Amino acid sequence: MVTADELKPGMYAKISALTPSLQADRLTAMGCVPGTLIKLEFTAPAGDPMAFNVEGYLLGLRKSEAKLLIVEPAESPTHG
Amino acid sequence: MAENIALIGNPNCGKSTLFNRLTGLRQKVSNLPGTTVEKKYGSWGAQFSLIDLPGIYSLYSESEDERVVVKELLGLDSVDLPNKIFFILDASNLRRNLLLFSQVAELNIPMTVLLTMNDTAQKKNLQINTTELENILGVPVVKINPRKGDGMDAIIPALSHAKVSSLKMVENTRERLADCIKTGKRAGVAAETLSRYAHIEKIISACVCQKPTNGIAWCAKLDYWLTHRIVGYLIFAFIMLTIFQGVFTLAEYPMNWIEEGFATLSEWTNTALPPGTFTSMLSEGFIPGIAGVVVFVPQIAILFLFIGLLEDSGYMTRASFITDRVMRRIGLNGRSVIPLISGFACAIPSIMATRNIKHKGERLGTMFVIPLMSCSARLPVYALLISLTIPETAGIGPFSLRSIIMTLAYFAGIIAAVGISLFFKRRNQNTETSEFILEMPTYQLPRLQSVLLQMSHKSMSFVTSAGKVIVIISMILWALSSYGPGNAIEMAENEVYRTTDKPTYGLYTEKLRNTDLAEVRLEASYAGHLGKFIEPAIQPLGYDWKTGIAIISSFAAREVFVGTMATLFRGREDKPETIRDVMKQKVNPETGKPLYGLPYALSLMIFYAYALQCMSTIAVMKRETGGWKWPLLQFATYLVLAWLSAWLVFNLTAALQ
Repeated sequence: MVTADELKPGMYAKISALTPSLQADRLTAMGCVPGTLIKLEFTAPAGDPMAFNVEGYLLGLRKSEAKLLIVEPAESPTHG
Repeated sequence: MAENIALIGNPNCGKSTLFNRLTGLRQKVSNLPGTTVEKKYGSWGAQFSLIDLPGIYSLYSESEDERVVVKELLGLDSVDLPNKIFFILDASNLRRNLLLFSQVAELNIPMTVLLTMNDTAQKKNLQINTTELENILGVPVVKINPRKGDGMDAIIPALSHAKVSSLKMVENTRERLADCIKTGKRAGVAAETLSRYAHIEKIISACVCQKPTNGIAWCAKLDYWLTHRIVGYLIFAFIMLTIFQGVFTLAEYPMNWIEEGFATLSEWTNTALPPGTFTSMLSEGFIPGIAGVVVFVPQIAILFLFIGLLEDSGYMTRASFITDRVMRRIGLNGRSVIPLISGFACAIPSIMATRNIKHKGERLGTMFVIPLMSCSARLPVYALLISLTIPETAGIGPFSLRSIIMTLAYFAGIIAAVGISLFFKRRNQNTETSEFILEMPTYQLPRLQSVLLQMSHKSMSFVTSAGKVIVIISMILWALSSYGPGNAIEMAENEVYRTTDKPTYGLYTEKLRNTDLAEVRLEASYAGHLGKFIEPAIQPLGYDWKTGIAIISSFAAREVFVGTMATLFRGREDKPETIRDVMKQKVNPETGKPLYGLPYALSLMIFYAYALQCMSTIAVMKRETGGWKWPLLQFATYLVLAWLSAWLVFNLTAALQ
C-alpha cells in the first residue's frame, strides 16, 4: 500500500482511498476524493510539509496528513 | 427596505475583491457576539446590503469560520437572514467549488452565480460552457472579473433573475446541517461528500472541456525558489527586514510632521486663548493626547500595507508552508506565522487573525505569545529611551549601536515567545491532532485598491478604538498632575518662592525657577502621590516616581508612556521643549550621574518588551477565549516576566558600567 507522503516531487498518483478521520473529511471536502489524480509539486525543506497539485490547485499538507491518502502511482496525464 | 445579499464562496475565489469593489468605502466590520469571526457589511447602492462571510469549503464544519456561514444561512443568527445569495464560483477550481454550491443550493434561497478567475481558468486551458452550466445549476451565471471590474454591469440584471437552484443531490440538507452544528455529530458526512462529488463529476464532464496542461510555469518556478531550503529562508528574512526598514524609515517623516504640527498647535492654543483651566486642559491634556494617537497612524498604516501586499500576492501561505516545521517544533503551527508577524504591527488584529488555526491548543498558544511580539506601540517607547542614552554615532562595524539595541529588544520578545510556546506544546500533547491543511493560491499582483482599503480600515479602527482610551487617559492624567490633595501644590510653590532668590538674569533665571516650580507642583499633585505609592515596587528596577506615573498610565496602552513623559517633563513650561532634552538634563543628586542613564533605559525597554500593558489586547483576549481566565493569566505572567527581566538588566548594566 502506497500513501501520498511516499511520493517524490514531480510524481503523479491516483487517490484510491482515505484513512477515515476528521482530517480526511476535510481533505475530501477539498476535493481529495478517490479517483482524483494528484501530483507532488514540491516540498518544504526536509520534505515536510508537502505541496500537492489537486485538480489544478495547490494544497499544502503535512507528511502525517499526506499519509491519510492511499494512492496508486500513475503516469503523467500528458503522456496518456 | 434594502435587500440582504450574502456573498458565499471558497477561500481565495475573489469574494472580498468583489465585496470591496461593490461597496467601496461604505463598509462596516462587525464582530458577532459570542463568536470570534468578523462579518463585514456594506451597502451597494441604496437598494442592497451586502454581507461578506468567511470563505469556506464545506458547510459541514468544525471551525468557527464555517459555523458563522452555516448559522447565517440557516437563520440561526436570526438578525439578518439573507434574501438572496451571490455564490462566487472560481472557474479555475470548478469541481471543488461546486461541492459548496451543491450544499448551499439545497437551502432554498434564491441564488445568482458569479463566475470569477476566468483568466486563470484560461491559462489552465479550461473551457467552460456557461450556458450549459446555467442549465444544470438552474440559476443565472455571470462571468465577472472583480479585479478589473469586467462584467459588473451584468450583475444587477442577473440578480433580478435569481432563482432557487433546481439542483438536488441530497434530501433534508437543512435538517442535517442544523443537526451537525448542534450536536457536532459527523456520521455520514464523508459518504455524503463522496456522493456529491460523484454528481459533480457529471456536471464537469457536461460543461467543461479541458486540454492537458502543466499548470502555470512561472508560478511553479517562483514556488521552487520561495520554498527552497536556503534561498527560500533568505527571501523570507529579506522580506521581513524590508518591512521593518520600511516601517522605521518611511514612517519617520510623517511622524515628525505630526509631532511638530501638534506642538505648534499646543503652543498656539496656550498663547491665543486666555490663560486658565480650560486653556491648560486643552493645550496640556487634550492636544498632546490626540497627538499621541495620530502619531502612530503612519507606522500602523505602513505595516498593514506590507502585510496586505504579502497576503494578497499569495506569499503569506508560502511563508506558513516553509515555517510550519519550525513552528510545530515549538508547539505552534505554520498558520501561526502570519498572526505572529502581524503582531509586530499590533496585537489586536493579530489575535483575531488566529481564528483560522483549527487546533484549539495551538490557537491559544499563538494568541498567548502574540503580545510578546514588539508591536508598533512599543516603537516610540524604545525610540525615546534609545535616543536618550545611546549616542547616534556609536556603532559596531556597519551597524549603529542604536539599531543593534532596537533589534535586541525585538529578539527579547521572540525568545520569550519561544519559551512560552514550549509550555503550551507540553500542554497540547494529549489533545486533538494538530493539522496543516492549507490551500496555496496562485500568485498574483496585489490589488492596490483592496490593500489600501484594508489599510485605511485598520488604521481608522486604531484611531477610533485606541484613540478614545488614550485621549481619556491623557485628560485624566492632566487632571491628576494639575491638582493635589488640599492646598499641597500651593504650599510646595510657596516653599520654592521662599527658599530661592528672586530671579535675575544671572545664575538663577526665571526659566530655571519655572522648571523648579513645575517639578514641585507635579510632586505635590495626585499623580505624584500615585507614583510615589508604587515607587518601592519599581525602585529595584531603577525607576523613579515619575516613571511610575508613566508606567501606571501606560497600563491602558503602551504608547501613553511617551505622552505621559511629555506631560510630566514639560510641566508648566511655557516653551514646549522636546521631552528628550529635558530628561537628559536630569541628574541624580546623590551620584551625580544622569538620572535617566543607560541602565534605566535598558531596564525600561525590557519591561515594555514583556509587560502586557494594553487594555485593548486584554479585551480582545477575553472575547476570543470567552472568559477572563486567559487574559488575566497572560497579564500576570508577563508582569512577573517583565519585572524579573528588568531587574536583571538594570543590575547587570549598572554593574558593567
